[in-house]
Amino acid sequence: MIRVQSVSKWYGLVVGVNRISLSVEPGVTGLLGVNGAGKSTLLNLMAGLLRPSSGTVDLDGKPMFANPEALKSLGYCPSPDHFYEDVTGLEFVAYLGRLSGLSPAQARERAVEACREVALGEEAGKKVRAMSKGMRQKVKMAQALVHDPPVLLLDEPLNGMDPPSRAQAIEAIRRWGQQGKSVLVSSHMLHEVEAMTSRILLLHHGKLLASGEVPQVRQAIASRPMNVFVRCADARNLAAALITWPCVQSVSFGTEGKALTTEVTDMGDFRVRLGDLMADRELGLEILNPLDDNLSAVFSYLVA
Amino acid sequence: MPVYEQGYEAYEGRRNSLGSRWKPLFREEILPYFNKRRFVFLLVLALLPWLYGVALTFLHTQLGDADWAKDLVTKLPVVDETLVAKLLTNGYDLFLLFIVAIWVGSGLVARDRKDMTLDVFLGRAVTSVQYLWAKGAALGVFLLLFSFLPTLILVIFQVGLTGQAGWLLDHVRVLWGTLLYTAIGPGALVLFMLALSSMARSPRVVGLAFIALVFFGDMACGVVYAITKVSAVWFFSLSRELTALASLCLGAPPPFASADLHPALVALFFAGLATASLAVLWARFSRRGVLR
Amino acid sequence: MIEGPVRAIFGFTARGMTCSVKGWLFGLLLVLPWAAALLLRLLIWKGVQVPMGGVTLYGILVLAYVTGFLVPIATLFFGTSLVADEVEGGTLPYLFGRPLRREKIFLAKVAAMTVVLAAGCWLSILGTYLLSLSLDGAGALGRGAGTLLGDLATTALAVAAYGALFAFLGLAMKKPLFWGLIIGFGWENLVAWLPGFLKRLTLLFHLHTLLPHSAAPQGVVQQMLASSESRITALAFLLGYTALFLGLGCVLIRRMEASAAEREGG
Repeated sequence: MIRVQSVSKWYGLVVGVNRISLSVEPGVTGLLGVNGAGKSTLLNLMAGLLRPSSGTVDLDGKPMFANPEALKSLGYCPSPDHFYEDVTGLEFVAYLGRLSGLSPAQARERAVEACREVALGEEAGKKVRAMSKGMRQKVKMAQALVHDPPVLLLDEPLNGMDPPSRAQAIEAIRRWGQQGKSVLVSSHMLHEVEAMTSRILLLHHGKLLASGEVPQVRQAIASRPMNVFVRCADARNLAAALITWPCVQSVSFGTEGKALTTEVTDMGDFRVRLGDLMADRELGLEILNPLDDNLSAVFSYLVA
Repeated sequence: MPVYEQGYEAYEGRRNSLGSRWKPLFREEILPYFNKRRFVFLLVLALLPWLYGVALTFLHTQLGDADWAKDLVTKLPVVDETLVAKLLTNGYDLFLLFIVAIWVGSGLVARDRKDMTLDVFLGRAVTSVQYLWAKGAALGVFLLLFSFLPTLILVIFQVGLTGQAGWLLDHVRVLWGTLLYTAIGPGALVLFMLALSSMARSPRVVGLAFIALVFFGDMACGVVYAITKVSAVWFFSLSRELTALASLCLGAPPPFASADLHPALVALFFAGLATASLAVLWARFSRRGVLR
Repeated sequence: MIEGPVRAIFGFTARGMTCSVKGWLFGLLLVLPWAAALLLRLLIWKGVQVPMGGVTLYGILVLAYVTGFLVPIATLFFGTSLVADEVEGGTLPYLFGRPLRREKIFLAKVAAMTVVLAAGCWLSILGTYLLSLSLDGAGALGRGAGTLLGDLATTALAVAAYGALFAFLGLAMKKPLFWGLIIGFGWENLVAWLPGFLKRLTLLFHLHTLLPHSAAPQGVVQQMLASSESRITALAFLLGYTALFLGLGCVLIRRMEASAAEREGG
């Protein structure tokens, strides 16, 4: 099992990931986050390519960074589209298989098998330079799989794939999970991840925002209190009504008395009640603005 | 269902004048170098031999009349066209000139190709000519810093220390000769670097190709000359051609004891280099809208 | 017994060096001495008065061209690219993500470069030797065998030493080409000629001590360069420098990070 304990990574003054702790169990786990959330940094740390600024990353107790013992059990599919361009897909996969300790014959055999696993088929014999983006993605997945590691880290593996290839790749990832491999797949598309697994880790601004099953996470996000700024002509009357609603936890006034900030636990219920109230009374609502932008962005991703 | 014609048509945009759209590109290309301490250090290093010229000027003008120093000073070379030609093309300054050409020039187009920013630039209202002009001008400015600027400083010192503007009138060829040398020699070098840089995606490979071509040219000429003793073989040596060009432009005597290059051959070399470079650039940039 | 992964990297690197445009360019550089020797033969055959014989030409080509130009330029070309190409091409994560000590990756790559370049230089020297010395009769070939062996050994050592230096620079410097030029063609050529101890800090000085050519016209240069140290000392210095650069390279690669992240990545 791969375990990340209180790991942070800084690039100078920029924080890549911040005090993240997690572990990847057998089966498929989705790593969700918007661009710049720190997914690739986290995966690079877990793949032993980056050294944590603080904290530890280990696989069955062995530290990951530049440690061959730990890397034996790991397959990593990076996100960028980089290859040795002048070899065929099969040669590429077989070469990296040899670097994982396979004999030349084993490497060739396993490369063919890995290419078949990712539905690369006859195209594997083409030069990488001549392959489409989707095929190149499959080659990257095959090289991660070639030495049959128990842990797979896949960084946005479905990028650039057409719908049939995407479906094949999703099917393959699910199959590896069912075979007992620990698979961590990063993506910024919830529906992609949901097609593979219901278990997700949610990363935002370099921090682990939430983790668990998708329905749980949806509920957890939805039930977190959210600050909403309201500006209206009759703020005191509005506050008197708000304070009686079960979805409102607190109300506070601004300095000028025309604006208030309220802490809401159920945004859906709040919207319905506010709509009804506006229909009943003339409160002169001017502005309604959720203040937790980050959370709302994450929320949007989750329900998109 | 109608089937439409599927061919592509090359974009034949109107040829605009150079305008000022190249200026941001030019600025972005040169400004970062002045923040690099290593680069400024290199510039200072290039000026070191010229300090010798300044010292000579000082000795001649300030101590030339002193009895105790007269004998010594008369033995020292005077500041004139010959000295400037030597300073421009001594091995040390040529080496630095090549280093700068590689440092600044190798990434001019290659870096944009590698970063995929060439598409962005040429996809805007910047034409290939404006783009190449901006890039070439940036390298040209740096090469000027290693050729014309030191000459100018030397002339200013000479005139300033002697207090006689007449020296400048007598030696005006120092200025226009250096300008002519810079326009032809380093000018052709700029085109050559642009052409090389447009042929690869990695600035490092461009730099290595330049080194291999220039140093190999010198070495091959040296070997063949050692066997044949025919001075015309130096025709293919860039450093020899630059040295000969400086002597010609400044009216100084030929610098090589055994292998004097004919002016026509020197002109032919630089014309050939510039033409070949322009042909490469034309082939790379004119046929397609955006290089990939 | 060499491990399979190390053999794989060795083979892949050697293949990349030989079956590429770079490899062809290197091949062109190798045949220049042959062309020079053939030119000399042609001139002699045509009855043109030539200033040197085959032995002298061979000496000049080995001393000035092979060790003075070909080895530094080829090792600069390939040595600085060993790791820099992987970094630029974004393929380093594939290597560093494998269960293989990074030092072995580095050493396997350096070994592949050394073997390919040394083999190329040997081919060039052997061809030049045959084409040049046969001008002076078949006996000259036999008499020069000792010189030839010395040249081959020294060239291999030169490739190893310069290769280690430039491979280390390729790892340590952001602009390895710039530093490679400054050190390989600036420092080396300038300092190797200075009197005093400083010249011992160059590879060229020790290589010239080891090269067996002492006949004119390169004899003066040879004496200037080689008069102040024994061959054993030169050998010790060269091996020491090679080990030092390889050791430093191993330390650097062990600590190196290889992010596969892209700017647009998450």
